[in-house]
Amino acid sequence: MSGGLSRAALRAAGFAVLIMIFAGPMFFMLSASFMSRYEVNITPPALMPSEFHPENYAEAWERMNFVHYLRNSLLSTFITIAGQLLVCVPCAYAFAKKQFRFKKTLYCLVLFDLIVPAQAIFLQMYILESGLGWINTMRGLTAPFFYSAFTIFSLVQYFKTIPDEILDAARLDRCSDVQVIARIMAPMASPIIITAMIFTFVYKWNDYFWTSILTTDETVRTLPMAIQNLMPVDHAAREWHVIMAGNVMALAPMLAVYILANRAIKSGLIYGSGGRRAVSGKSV
Amino acid sequence: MKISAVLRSPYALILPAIALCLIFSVAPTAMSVRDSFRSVDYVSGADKFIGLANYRSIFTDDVFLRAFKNSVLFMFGVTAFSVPFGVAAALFLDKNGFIRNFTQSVIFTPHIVSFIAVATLWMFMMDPRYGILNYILGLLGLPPLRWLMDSSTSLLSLAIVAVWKTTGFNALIVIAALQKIPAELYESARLDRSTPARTFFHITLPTLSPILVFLVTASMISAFGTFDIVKFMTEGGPRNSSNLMVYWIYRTGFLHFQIGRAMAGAVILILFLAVVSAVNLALAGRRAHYQ
Repeated sequence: MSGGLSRAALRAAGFAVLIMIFAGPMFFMLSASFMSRYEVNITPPALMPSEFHPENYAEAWERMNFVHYLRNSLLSTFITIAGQLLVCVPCAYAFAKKQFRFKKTLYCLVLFDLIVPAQAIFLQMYILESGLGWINTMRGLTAPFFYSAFTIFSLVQYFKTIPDEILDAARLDRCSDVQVIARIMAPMASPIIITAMIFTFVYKWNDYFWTSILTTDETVRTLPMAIQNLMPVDHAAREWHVIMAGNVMALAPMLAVYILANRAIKSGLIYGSGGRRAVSGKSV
Repeated sequence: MKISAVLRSPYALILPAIALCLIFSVAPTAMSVRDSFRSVDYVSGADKFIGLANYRSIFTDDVFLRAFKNSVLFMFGVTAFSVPFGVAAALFLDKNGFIRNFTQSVIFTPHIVSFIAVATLWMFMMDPRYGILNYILGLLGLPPLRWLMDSSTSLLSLAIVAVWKTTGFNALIVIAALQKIPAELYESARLDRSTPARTFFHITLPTLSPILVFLVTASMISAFGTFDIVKFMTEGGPRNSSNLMVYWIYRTGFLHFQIGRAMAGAVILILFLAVVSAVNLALAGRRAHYQ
């Protein structure tokens, strides 16, 4: 009896430790975002604001020029998602369901991105985009990422499981490939397509690496760069209460998606088991 | 062939992806390799073949060697904690139930938060004077640290941030794998009166081995390629103590305009990661049980 009780206590302690380590800092960010300038700089540190200062958010909003960066974040993320749907879905359909010459070789080529890390080619990307005049443009920030080896790979794996008979029936009805994709493939594979696009959303929304490489001014910069603008180089001048408020605002859309799509994100990991590659690969 | 026939062929479906892949992945990689053997100046237009001089130059450069060593250390350090922590958390959180599902979601949250939000949050907590981490150290009776501002702890501080950010991802992948292990295996182990430890080492671990190989490889690759937190939190300092390969490439190329040397570093990065993947797969070939 007491053995069962102490096991339950141990388990409860385990949950408490995990939640404290992983949610603690997030809670602390939220808490500090409501503190006064004085309260974020005291010892011992305050865990909760003694009085609420929602005006930190107004200040962060204004100093970050929040609307400008939010617009860029939304635009670049949704353009990338739309582009991937147009480029990756037909490509994955062809590799999963069509027979053609050089198919294997071409598939290996398409998966190239999974092997070479983005971190090795960013300088050449910059040189290439300067040549095209794409630096500081929305197309420079999105078009290269319409192609994603990670997205194509996970779609192909799933498309292969859809029975050929269904597609044959459509072909007998003289449907074109585009019609087959739009009317049969996409609806039947919608769980994996949604999951893949959620991954694209997460990585594009959070992307700092490519934005810092492919932009030199504020025209198309996104929210992660706006946070940087709240951080003065001078360490003593950092106003953590405003910075944390900015952080919370930049995170909010992401967290909302996470809460709404919790299940899809988790099951996506089970299909793909390759989310990490998407982080290191160019595929955003 | 008529245009309409081309448009109806499967090649039309893959053409956009192939084109983007060639332009934005294959070409930059090829150019990186090419430029690593050349002396390139994009301003004056000078460009000539100089053989292995760039490679010789970076391998005698203390800053590059330091960054390379730091990256290797960082790669092993982060992987040595984030993968076992992830596995431990997964074993603890496997099975359904409200509190378990909730905790799973909580530990995964850092993975979907941008590195910049994570970086600013930890810079705040690692503040030497007012930060909460030093306060906690004080409560434990330990002396305060200067975290990011001290050359002996800066790399460690970045590693803590990376482990915190990636452990939840590893845990979720392992949970997914655990839920695919057939219940009969555990049932038969129970009938054989196997101890929990034996069950773990004879059933759970062997079944997980392919996914563990994947996690270790992915974790090493991403840790070795770390850039965001270095640039944002320390800029490689103090005195290059937290400088990593990718940040070295960035600085060499963008700030010092030494394209050839930067590209030689990039080629070393690609080769090193290829070796890491190959070694992991070779070791796994002997140990892992693929079904």
